[in-house]
Amino acid sequence: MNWEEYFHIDRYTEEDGTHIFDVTLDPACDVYRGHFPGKPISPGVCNIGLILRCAEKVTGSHLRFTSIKQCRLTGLVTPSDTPHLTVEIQTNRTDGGTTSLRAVIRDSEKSYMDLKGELEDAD
Amino acid sequence: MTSFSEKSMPERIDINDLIPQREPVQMIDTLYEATTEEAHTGLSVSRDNIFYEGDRLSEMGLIENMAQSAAATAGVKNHLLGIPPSLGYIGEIKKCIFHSFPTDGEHLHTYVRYVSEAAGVILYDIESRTDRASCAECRMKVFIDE
Amino acid sequence: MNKQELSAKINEVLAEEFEVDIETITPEADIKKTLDLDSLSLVDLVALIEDTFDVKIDGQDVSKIQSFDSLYDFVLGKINA
Repeated sequence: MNWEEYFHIDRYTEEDGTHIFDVTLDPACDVYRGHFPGKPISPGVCNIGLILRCAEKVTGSHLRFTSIKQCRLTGLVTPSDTPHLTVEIQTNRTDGGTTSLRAVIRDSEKSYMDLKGELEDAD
Repeated sequence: MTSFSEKSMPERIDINDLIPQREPVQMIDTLYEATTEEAHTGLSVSRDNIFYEGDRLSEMGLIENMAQSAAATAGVKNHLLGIPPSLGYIGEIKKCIFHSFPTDGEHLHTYVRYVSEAAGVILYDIESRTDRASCAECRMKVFIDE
Repeated sequence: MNKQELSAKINEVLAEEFEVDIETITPEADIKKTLDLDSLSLVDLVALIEDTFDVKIDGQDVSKIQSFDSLYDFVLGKINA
């Protein structure tokens, strides 16, 4: 999947160990042809991918998930109603070479995703 | 892992009758078995798949395959009532572990088992594997937009 | 299994699954408040009880139960049914 078609990062800041990405979703992304025809809703997995791509900006390496302990989808994301989102990420490097991750996707109104997982270098 | 025979399915059901996802994000292409309690779905993994990254299907591809398999299981109920497929949303993914990633040309088999239901939320245990190895397992909560 | 054994077992598995201090689980306490349950996590409670005691329970019935004491009685009734 071409993630640059799905979103772009408007701003990246860091505050007290939390990495904050302001992103905008692109309604022209190909996924919306099938999710769902005539009713574009951002797939939950694409927002998991959004978190992963932002986490790569934090660590500066190519990452993949080894596990997702919990991922709650708490609100419907659509490129028309909720195009501007904030991704907040906290990472913690473990001794085993993996990175534990806690991430939230939200806007000023509500939160849409809350994820706890483990990552490793993909290369 | 148990393999279900195609004969055990009560009738042929079109995947499009069970889930609303369409190309390019339809992540199951075969339905071997689907009852209200369990399902067995298939996907031929190709490098043309939208969730194929580098030399493998990505974590996102595996999760979407498991999610659509769970939603199909939830959709069977509507199908048996003769009404169109409902939009089944994933509310939560838990204890998801990735073991390996399928590659171009491999066939992915995904097994869904009903666990419990409460407050309009259905809990499923799911495992996804190729002939070669287990790929991923997780527990998913699906809620139906009536 | 008597009620005392059953309540100890329920408290133990709930405290672990929902990551709460077992001391906060008292017979009169409100289940949803104590375990921080919402509409998404109620099914975890149902699955946990079913798995622990090998019984089938109706989510609808469980959603009406307020106190842990009522939950113990409910599960005891299912086991002895």
